[in-house]
Amino acid sequence: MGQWFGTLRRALAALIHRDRLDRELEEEMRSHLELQAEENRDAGMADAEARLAARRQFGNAALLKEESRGVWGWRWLEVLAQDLRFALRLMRRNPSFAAAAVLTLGLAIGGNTLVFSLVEAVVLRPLPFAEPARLFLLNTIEAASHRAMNSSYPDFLDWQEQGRTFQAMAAYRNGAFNLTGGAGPERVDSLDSTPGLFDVLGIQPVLGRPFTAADGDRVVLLSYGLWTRRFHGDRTVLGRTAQLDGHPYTILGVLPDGFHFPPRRFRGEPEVFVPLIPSLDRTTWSLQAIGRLRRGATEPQARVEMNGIARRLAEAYPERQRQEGVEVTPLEREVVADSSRTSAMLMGAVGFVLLIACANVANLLASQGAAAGDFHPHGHRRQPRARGAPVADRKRAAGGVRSGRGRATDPVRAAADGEPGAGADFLLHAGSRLRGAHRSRGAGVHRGGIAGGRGVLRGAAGAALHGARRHRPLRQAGPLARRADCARSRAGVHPAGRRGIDDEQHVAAAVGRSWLSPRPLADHGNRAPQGEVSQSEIAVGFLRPGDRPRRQAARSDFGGRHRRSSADPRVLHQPGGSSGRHR
Amino acid sequence: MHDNGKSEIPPGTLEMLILKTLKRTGPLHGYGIAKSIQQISEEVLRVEEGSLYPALQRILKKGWVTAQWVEAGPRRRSRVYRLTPDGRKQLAAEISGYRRVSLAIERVIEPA
Repeated sequence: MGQWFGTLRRALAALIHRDRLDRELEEEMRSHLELQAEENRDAGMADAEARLAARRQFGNAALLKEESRGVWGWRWLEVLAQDLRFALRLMRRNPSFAAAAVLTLGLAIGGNTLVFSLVEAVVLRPLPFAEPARLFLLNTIEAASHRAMNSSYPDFLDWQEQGRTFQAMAAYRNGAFNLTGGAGPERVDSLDSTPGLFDVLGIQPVLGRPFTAADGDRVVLLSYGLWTRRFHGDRTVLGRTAQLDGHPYTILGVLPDGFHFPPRRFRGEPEVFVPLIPSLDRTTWSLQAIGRLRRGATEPQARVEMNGIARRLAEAYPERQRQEGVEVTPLEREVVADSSRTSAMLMGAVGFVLLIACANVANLLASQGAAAGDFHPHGHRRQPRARGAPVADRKRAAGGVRSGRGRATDPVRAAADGEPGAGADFLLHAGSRLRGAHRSRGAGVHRGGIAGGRGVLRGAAGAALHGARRHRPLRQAGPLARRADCARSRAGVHPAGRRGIDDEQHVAAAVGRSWLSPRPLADHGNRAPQGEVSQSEIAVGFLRPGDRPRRQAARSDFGGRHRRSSADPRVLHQPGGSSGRHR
Repeated sequence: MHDNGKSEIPPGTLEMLILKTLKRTGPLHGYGIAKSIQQISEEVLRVEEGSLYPALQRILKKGWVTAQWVEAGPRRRSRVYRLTPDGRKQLAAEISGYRRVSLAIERVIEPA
């Protein structure tokens, strides 16, 4: 544990002082080379030869340095930072494009956020009552249809009296009133309940008190919203009267902000809470009931007990519609069941909106790439700007040639190669599995829709890859292309005679490939004569972008090596003047 | 096998060789470590620079050695590596592990 911590501490120090780490590695390797050269001189070599031999033995110093840096494990962070910087540069260069992309993605992400907060509020957040898991809705089950329905007040009284598993019960029904006086008439939804409701829910008014059986019928509790809206949050409202359907109701209290009952209804949310005036008829099925389970009692116990009560009631009153039991549903499940399907659908819908937005941005990228590269107003293709730094990490650069991190292929050619399909294949596979699942459930009608979806997915994935190919590469393969220039000029193609991106890409691709496995340039485009680009000429140096002075140094270093390489027997072609020979 | 009778260092043993060299000779720079391994092994083992420097960084990160710049003549300084107590412990562990494995290999390949 302690050792692990020490390692982490040292790695963090290396990250913070990475410039120093860099310098030290560089100096250390230089010193190594000098010592080796010294030894070579001692062995009788001439000075230049001694240095050359030392360098040759040492190998690719830049690559080595990068590998040594990589040991500290921060490569991913550097790559991430590079990618971010690159993205910012692209955005700065083309603000309108950036704005369009940001807007598209922003809207889609905004929609997702909105729907998610809705789902969170409706489905995921716990109900705002005391111990909501102990709250159960109680409904009468009718024998003829086996369906849950409302209950009658006398039945409810019997439940309340006989039910031992419940600590308290309340019955309620929804209603509405015309609220008049003061600010003009208004239709408000109401909840008419037995006095115990607020006890059952574990809710206390923020102002005043709940009503009791002793208060009579003409008392009212206001919702927080109505209180602030209609009564301006006036605390002296207690004891005053509100006109409901023309009758004066004494205001007893104000319920807390955020109290909603029944919970999570989107419409008809009660704003006034008045005592229930029950019908004493056993066949008036108009009430909902809710109970708070006694601590320690379980849901099955409650069910058994309630069904027993229902059976006794059915025997006692055989003349009425037959009841077969009482449905006991956790309030939480009831509330969620209503809305979870809707929520899932909404989530899915905005998910697709996001997908479409991504496809649109990918299309934008592709079209922008086409406009910038292939259809330049002056009739010639705009040259790719060689940018960024030379790379020493072969996997990253060469891998880029294939994966879109290198500007070695243009999107059209890549599409012809069928590479974007590879990315889409995964989605297609997923799609066909989905389709299989649907079919097995007998929902064959969806097939067309899913096939269409496959098209969209395929298009989106392809376009996204196009975009990536088109843009990412500027940084990575810029240097490759520059190397390619050198390689080509040495190989006999004069840079002034090049005919645009096409050449460049061909050669860059060739260089990329030759990097992995050296291969004659002559294979590509017939423009370069036979010969190999040797690894030692291409693998150059690792510099971080923005390091201008060192880049200059690296260039001259490259130049030096470039000249030196003419002495290298592996390199067939001489730089500069000798190119004429190959024409 | 290299053409001139030199051998690659078996994988996983380079760090042990570096630690042992530092224990034997005291603080030393990278070039010195490579030469020392080469000489003591009578030119059989050749330490590639390409694996030496990453290996040095690895054991630096693990805290088995510390590095320090020292003046080495006019206008030159070298970075010398010094074994830490943790490095000593690690070296002992690696040597005993290596002995066990190489003995086992010996038993397997010795003529019956």
